[in-house]
Amino acid sequence: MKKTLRILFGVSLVLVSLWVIRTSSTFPEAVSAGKKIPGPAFFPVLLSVVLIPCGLHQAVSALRSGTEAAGRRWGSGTVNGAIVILSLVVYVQLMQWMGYALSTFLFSMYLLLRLRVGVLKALAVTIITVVFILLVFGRLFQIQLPLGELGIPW
Amino acid sequence: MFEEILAVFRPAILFPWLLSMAFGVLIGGTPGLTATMGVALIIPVTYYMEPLAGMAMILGVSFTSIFTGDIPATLLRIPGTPASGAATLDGYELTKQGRGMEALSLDLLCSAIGGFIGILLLMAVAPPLAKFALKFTNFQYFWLGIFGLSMSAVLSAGRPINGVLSATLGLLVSTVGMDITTGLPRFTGGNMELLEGIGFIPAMVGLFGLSEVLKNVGDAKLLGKSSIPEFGRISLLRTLKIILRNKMTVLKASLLGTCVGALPGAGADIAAWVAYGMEKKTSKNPEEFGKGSIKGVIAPTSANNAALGGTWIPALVFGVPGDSITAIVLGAMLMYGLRPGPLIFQENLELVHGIFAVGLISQILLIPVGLIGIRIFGKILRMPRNIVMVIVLIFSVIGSYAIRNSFFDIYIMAAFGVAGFFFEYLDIPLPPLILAIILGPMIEDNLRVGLIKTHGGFGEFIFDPICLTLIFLILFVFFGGPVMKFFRRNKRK
Repeated sequence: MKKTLRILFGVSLVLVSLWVIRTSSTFPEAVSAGKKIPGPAFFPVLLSVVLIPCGLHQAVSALRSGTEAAGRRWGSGTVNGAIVILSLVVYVQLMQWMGYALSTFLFSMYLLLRLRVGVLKALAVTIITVVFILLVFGRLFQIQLPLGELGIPW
Repeated sequence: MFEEILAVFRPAILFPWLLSMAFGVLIGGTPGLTATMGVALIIPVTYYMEPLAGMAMILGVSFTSIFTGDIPATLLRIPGTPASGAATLDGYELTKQGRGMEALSLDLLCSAIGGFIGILLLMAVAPPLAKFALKFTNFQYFWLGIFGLSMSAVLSAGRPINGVLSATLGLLVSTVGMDITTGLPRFTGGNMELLEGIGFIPAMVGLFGLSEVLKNVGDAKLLGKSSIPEFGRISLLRTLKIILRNKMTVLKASLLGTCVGALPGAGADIAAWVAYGMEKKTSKNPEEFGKGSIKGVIAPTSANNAALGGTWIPALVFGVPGDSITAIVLGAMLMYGLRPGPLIFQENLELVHGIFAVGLISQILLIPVGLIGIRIFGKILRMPRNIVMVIVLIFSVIGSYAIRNSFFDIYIMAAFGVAGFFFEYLDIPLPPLILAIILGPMIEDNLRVGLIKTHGGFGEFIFDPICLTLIFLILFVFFGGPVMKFFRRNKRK
């Protein structure tokens, strides 16, 4: 898996670099005292030129490495990771709709229970976290936490 | 000066000062909240106070938050502030070995000593050093930024080429957004939220926070256990003995940190990396770095607090901010009706002496305040891993949102978190990436403004004594080790 990922990463780097060079070629040129000087394209192109050999090195060294190296096993842990990311996306969507407090309560409870924390403990941790953030961010620092479309003030 | 020291113990100064230090503990220890943010938030509170009380609060917040930022960095490998990035390397390794408290007590005392030396240097060498820093040209700043990045690329764990890849990728990420020179949107894909660029705070929180969460939830066996294996006990006497054994490291890192801090734009974060790099390069056992080296904890933590003293040098003497914190300080000084710059030494000498006194005493106060911070955050962070990870995740989300009140920043954080998780799996170091995102705009601007000034001429870019010195140092960072090894081997033969 690691070998395949490294090859994919190397190839992606090369492709991204080529895309950056192509996009940068459409940027306007800069002129100073009648002379052409490096414009907005200069720095990204320069970086892409450095990234291409780095990407090739990743891909080639992975190809040369022979058999697949034993690394992380992709089992139930991967499922947990994917669930965290998916629930994060749902959490952000919920926050935009029902505001900070309710969405954070649901997100925290779901994840804690999913990660095998007892119900009472999960409830206590969730309430303390939600209230702590409300007090520190919302009250002390006066940071506007999301109200959501429902307009719940907390 | 003695009168000024006594004056700062007046209740009107002492109470807000102590309160600000407690506030700094909270800011620094909470991932996603930066020292700059803490200082910015405290400025309105100081509006009706006398200037010295306001300055005391600003100094109190900045010194304590830079230290407490090292607490989650050491215990969970999540830097509380950007200046704590280098503290994640050996500090976290020591925590994994059950020596977290040893690392933190070293960190605390080194921060206090580093901060003390930084303020002493501020008092002693402010005018000549600030003059030197002010003379830096755009090209010299460019090379200084590249030097900082090179250090980070070579020093992070893994192969240097992976460090270079990480730094280059970070620089490329920093080009997203509106080009400052021409106003042209670059690589935004028409997204208005990207016009301001990719914020380094969501990126940093994602790379160091979410990626760690993903790594932890991926290991079912560890979930019910504490996120910190063994905490160990704090012993200030033992810590002092260790510091005495490594006194030269503390001194070197503090001096270096102050000098780097005095260069405008190069703050505590760069100072910490440069000091770590110098220590590793000059160490007899460089292979120990990144595996829980004591010197690897001492150097960056001494340097980052020393740099804070350094950043005040150009700010006080010439009215040029040394970093984002002193940029806010200058605004606050104007708010108090003061004129930062050379005249302040004539018109408000008492205030300047008061600032020096507050700076020095803050280092002494940092020790008890820091110990309380370690105990509080140590207990919070010792909870079972599954609980800590969910809390870290929620703080990462809210911390990312809070900077610009933007949901888009949460997605940025998530994207960087996933990327960070895979990068670590592929042995690509994360610190150069985040440092490059922070330094990228400064590096590119200085290069392009320099080239505008020289009408595209590259002569000064290289053939300038300071540029040449910096280029030599960069080459030394990459090739110094192998070249020296080669010579040593030949000598033996």
